[in-house]
Amino acid sequence: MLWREEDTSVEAVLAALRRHAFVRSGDDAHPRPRARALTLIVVCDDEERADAEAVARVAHRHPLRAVVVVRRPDGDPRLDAVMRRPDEVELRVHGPAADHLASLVAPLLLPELPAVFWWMGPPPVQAPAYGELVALCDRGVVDMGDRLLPLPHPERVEDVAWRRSRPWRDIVASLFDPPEHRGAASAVREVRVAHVPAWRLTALLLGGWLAARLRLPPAAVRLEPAAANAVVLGAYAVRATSDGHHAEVRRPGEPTQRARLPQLATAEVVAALLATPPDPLWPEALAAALAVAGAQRS
Amino acid sequence: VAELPANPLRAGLITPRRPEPQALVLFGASGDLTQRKIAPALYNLAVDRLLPDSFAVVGVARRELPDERFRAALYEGVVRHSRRQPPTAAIWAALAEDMHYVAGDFRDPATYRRLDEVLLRLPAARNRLYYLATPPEFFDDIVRGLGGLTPTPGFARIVVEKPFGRDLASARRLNQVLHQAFPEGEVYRIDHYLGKETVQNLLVFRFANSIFEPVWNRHYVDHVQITAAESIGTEGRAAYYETAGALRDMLQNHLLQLLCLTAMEPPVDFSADAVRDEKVKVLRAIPPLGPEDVVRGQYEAGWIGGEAVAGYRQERGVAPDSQTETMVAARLRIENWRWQGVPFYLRAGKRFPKRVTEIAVQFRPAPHLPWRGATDELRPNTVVVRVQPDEGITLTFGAKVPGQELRIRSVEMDFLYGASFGHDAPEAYERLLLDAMSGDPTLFTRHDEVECAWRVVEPALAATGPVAPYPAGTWGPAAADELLRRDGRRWRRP
Repeated sequence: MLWREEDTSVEAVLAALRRHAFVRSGDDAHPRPRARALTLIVVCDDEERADAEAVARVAHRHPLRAVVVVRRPDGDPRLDAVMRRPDEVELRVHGPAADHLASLVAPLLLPELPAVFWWMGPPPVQAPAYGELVALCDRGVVDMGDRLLPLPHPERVEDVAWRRSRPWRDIVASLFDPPEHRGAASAVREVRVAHVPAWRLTALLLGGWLAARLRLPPAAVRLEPAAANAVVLGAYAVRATSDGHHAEVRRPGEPTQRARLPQLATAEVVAALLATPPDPLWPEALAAALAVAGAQRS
Repeated sequence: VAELPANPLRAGLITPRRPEPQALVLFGASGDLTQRKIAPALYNLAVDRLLPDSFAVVGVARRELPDERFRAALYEGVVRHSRRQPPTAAIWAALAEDMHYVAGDFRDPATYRRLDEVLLRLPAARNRLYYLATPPEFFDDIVRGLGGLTPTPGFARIVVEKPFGRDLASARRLNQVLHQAFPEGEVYRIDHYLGKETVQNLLVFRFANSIFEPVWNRHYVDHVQITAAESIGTEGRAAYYETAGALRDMLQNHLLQLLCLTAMEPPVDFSADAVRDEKVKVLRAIPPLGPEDVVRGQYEAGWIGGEAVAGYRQERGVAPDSQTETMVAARLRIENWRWQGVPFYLRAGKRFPKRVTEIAVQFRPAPHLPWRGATDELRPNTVVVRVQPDEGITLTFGAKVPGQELRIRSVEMDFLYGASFGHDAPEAYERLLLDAMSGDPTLFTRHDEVECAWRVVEPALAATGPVAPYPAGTWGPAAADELLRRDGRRWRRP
């Protein structure tokens, strides 16, 4: 641990960040400042703290400043801070300030560099605390969990499950890669996404993506509970195997093939979210997924 | 021919770069390079999930080995040399499943018949990447042998390791040999320096920023120094080194490549030929090295890092009267509008005080310093690109020393890859293997590039004078210092 202080102030946190900005590296062990490319703000509550710290830890491999904010809206107003590594600070925000995070965080942002927030758990999309953060930051990452939410500004705010499902999109798209199957994609009239209970949100997002890409009405996408996750497009199908690490790929007139279905590690998801531009497909996929969810209910 | 409809699900998809299914056919599979570089690179590509879905390795070498032993030998290379330790057994096992071995003499046609049989059985071998990790004297036979294999509908590429020829004539002949079976677009000549992250970053540094390029020319640059120093000796490679020397082993390829990237004009885009066209233009602007522009040295016994080390001629496999140079220093000119009058000093050597490769661009001094006497400690502005180790970029500039009196001294502004990006960069061989598998030759040297580079060093190869001795653990002989002193300059101490 480099520094800790209870009942501290933002100024003291900033001073500590400056004091401990140097890292030792290389042959001569000469301390040097890290180059930095962005500020990451990870927002969590007490229960999500371990996960938030894991994100900050892998994010530390990128040139950035990480600020972990633990919200404790109940209790007397107080700010505690801990610094474990250079350019990584954890704030515990007690009292009403927990609902006005932007004012606390703004002074800690690196000048002129992009700011990214990561809201652990379902974001309170209606709450001012969340809206302020969206307004303050250039990009955001949320974890909707199992409930699809109408996220404001999807062009800047993305869900973790969407990035995690990238290998699925890759394999489903590969169904139509062989030249002799290219034309079949535009003939698809119906999409079935089978899913285990924990995979419902991802199933909806994949359904939304397919509806948007294949220009299908929301009602053409059907979700159904199943023992194994699968995407079925007429005679074409991708089905997860029981070990969860492979998928069976089926095209009409061909023997079933096996493809690897990698489980992205947290580090890879963080890297993808921090080091690559926003996913251009996400806004339309989210909008279509919301429509698909509506169609399932009716 | 009707245009294929696009796959609507591919549009906008963020997919990692993954090459088509293929077989890597490795000649010289029991050699040092396979163990040290290729096996670890394959393993790390597998960890990063960058290998094709269907991928096979077929090793070819003279020694009789069952497949199992071949796999075990590669695995040992991973255990000893991979940047990720310890290796994950499951990842290796999946990769090793499709590794095969063909024993045989490269000169024997039967070897290629056996290879053909193995390849025809492998579904992945529809596409092929042949990798010649053998001494160059076998290239001829191997290329001829490959020409006789059953043709496949997929691609056939060939990767060639250095040394690419011994001089201009032999390089030309090698190119002709390769072109008999492989069009230039399928030939990948490795210069592993180009696979290094910092070397690629040099072009980003120059052309993704607007503040450096305006001063990157004869109006502001005084001179450029490129150093590739090793502290090791020949490390058991004396037999090869005796026939090569630092000129062939380092200057003709690595140092000239670094020079090209430092001096080239901005390419119109980052396509393979656009980048290589610009490099060739630089090489063509360099007059061949005259005898007065080159210093050849050879280390004698000395001390490195507190240890006594033997001289080059005392090493096993070295002739007692060897005239092979273990260091070379050269002064080059680039005769074009940008660099006219700006010397490029290059040096490479073994048994130097430490291992360091860097490019230092030294700028002209300020035209007038209004502080009399306060600037004794001020050195010229320098941009240093550290290629290895401690990868990064340093800019030196003058700053006021805090205090009542006015003193100015040089300070460093440092960018360090390791401290900034905490994750491991891929090794050069990972990058280059993946590029060759994916069919991107940007970071490989083209035939005319190799020939132009030989043309530059050709006169120096003919030098017959004795090598200048230098004690191990020093930066080379006095003659190397003299090369700069007569221009009123001195070597940096990296």
